[in-house]
Amino acid sequence: MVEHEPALQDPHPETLGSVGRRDSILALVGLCAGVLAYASGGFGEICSDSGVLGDWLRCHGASFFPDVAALRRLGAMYLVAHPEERSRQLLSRLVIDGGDGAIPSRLLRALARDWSNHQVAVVDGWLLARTEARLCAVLYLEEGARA
Amino acid sequence: MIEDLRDHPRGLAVQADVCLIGAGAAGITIARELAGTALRVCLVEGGGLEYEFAESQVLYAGTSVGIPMSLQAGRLRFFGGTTNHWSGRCAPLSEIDFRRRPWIPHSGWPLDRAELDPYYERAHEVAGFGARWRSDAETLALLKAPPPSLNPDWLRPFIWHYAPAMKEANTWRWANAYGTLLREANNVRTLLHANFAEFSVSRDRGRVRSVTVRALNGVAATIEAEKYVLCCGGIENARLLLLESQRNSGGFGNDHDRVGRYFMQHLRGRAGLIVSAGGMSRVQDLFNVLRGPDGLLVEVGLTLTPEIMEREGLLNCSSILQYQGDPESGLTAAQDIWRALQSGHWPPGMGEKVGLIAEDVGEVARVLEHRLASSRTLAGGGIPSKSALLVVDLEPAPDPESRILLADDRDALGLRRVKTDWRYGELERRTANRLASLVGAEFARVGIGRTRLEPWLRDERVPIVDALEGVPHYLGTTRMSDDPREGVVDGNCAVHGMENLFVAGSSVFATAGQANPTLTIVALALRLADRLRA
Repeated sequence: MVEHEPALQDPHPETLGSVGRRDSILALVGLCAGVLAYASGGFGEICSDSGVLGDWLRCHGASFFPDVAALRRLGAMYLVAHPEERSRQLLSRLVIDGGDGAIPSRLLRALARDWSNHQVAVVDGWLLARTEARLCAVLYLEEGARA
Repeated sequence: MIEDLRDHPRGLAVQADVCLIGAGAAGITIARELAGTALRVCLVEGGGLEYEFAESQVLYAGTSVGIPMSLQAGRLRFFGGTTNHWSGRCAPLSEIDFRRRPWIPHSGWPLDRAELDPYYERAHEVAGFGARWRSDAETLALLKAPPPSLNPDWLRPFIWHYAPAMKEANTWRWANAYGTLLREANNVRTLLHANFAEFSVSRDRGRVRSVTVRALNGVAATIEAEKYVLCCGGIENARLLLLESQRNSGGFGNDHDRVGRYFMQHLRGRAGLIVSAGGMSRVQDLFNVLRGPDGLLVEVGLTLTPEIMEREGLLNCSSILQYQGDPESGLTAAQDIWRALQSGHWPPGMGEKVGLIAEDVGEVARVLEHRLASSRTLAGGGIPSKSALLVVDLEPAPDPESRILLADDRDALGLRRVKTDWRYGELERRTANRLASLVGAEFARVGIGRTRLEPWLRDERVPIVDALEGVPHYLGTTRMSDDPREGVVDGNCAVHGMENLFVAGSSVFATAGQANPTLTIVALALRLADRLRA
């Protein structure tokens, strides 16, 4: 059974405000670049337990995602449209489910699979791979859990 | 010979084998084909040799009761017709455009692309390309800009060719290209300021016996011909058939109330913004307006594959990128100054722009040197950009409720003016959404940039009419169908139920495709000319 997380704040898009072009592009490029950098050996050992995506994000998020605030805003908006996914546990499983290996390489595979299969989500107008959108939602919920 | 009807105060009676009504792309093309043959040709044109608003263009006035649209933007009423402001952007319709597509009601032509291919070949010559027209594959190879590896099951490049410039104009003009030929042709008599007034028909309404044309000063001419061709454009062809059908209580292809229906315009809208942290240089030298090795401009965009259109029930469509300069870069400032000075203006904020150039002086010098040394156009994509507008061009779905009607008020010749009730719908939105989404996803996958879709594509509550504008190509109002219950002309452009009346131009298009229509208008006109000559 999936436990749904309470909202941190009212995540209505109108109260969250729009994620600007510069914020988003930097954040999204950072997201992909971070994962790619790890996959090419640019980072050291990290946790590879698929059950602890949140821990991994807490440990390494700042290194991987230069504009986490923008990604969190996108994540909050994604959850408005997909309230059934408001669970760190569920999202973690959806984001990194399947396959072996460390989290970044699994994320990378999931992203490639999403784009190839056109598994996308439109959040605040931004076209995201479904995995990206869910990762943003995890970041948002992690922030809530830490608060 | 080219004459002005107003110079014949006693009027004229003309005998001809073929009477062409309207001297635009279709009328002049047919006249050109028949020049030098044994046929006697009379070409009548409502306007003169130059643009005259009060004496001619004003006759195109009308009203719009559907989606607001311009009745003037896409029509010029003088010798050469709308080719007098033609952009020169050419592409043939695609094979799928001619097919009956079960997911698009009223789609399907009574001919296929292969039937039209030889006429497209000849149309290249008429539109000024000659041997310089190249296939899409050849054009892409010559551009030497490798396309990104986008999913070929979803998207493929689409190429528009721009007609060459002439000494008199920056692109091909029918009046300039063929005016001398028609003036010197012994068998072609061109009458200017000769506005259509009425047909005289046989008792059974199956045959046109003569046409009367009239100048605004009252001078009239009667032309008796064996065959008549309406070449007045997508709105006026329907208007004249409606006028005559009403005046004669039937006939003129309107026995099944089809004349004027299925009125279409191509649709264009901004679908999204593509941004790239690293710059758009990977695509800027491909998806752009580019000068090819033989000096002609080509434009490369993207279109959906026929397979995905069929699988997902979509209309035809294409997208282009319009690159944006960074407003705070010295390059943009330099381009602003260059463009302002080119157009004879002093650019606003000159001091600030010079300051921006000074900050980026190295980059500005590098780019200008590179661009000026190359043959590539500076237009649009000459300056490296970090963002681009994603613009979509859409095929409209044929809709019998979208139509040309007769208004109650009358023009200076006493003929009822035109009234448009233009409509389009949600299939157009769904098509645009799918195209933009696939382009955006593919650009993200291969690392070109990220896309933010426009609100009208993600929220059906946003009115589509606020997002799309009609490209003034007027299409479909005397559509082609072998079934008179579905169309106005048959596969040979002959009006159903009429022995000797034909229609040429974009009004015969059964579906619009997404490509600019002129090349197809010319191809169909050439095909009709062959039939008239036979």
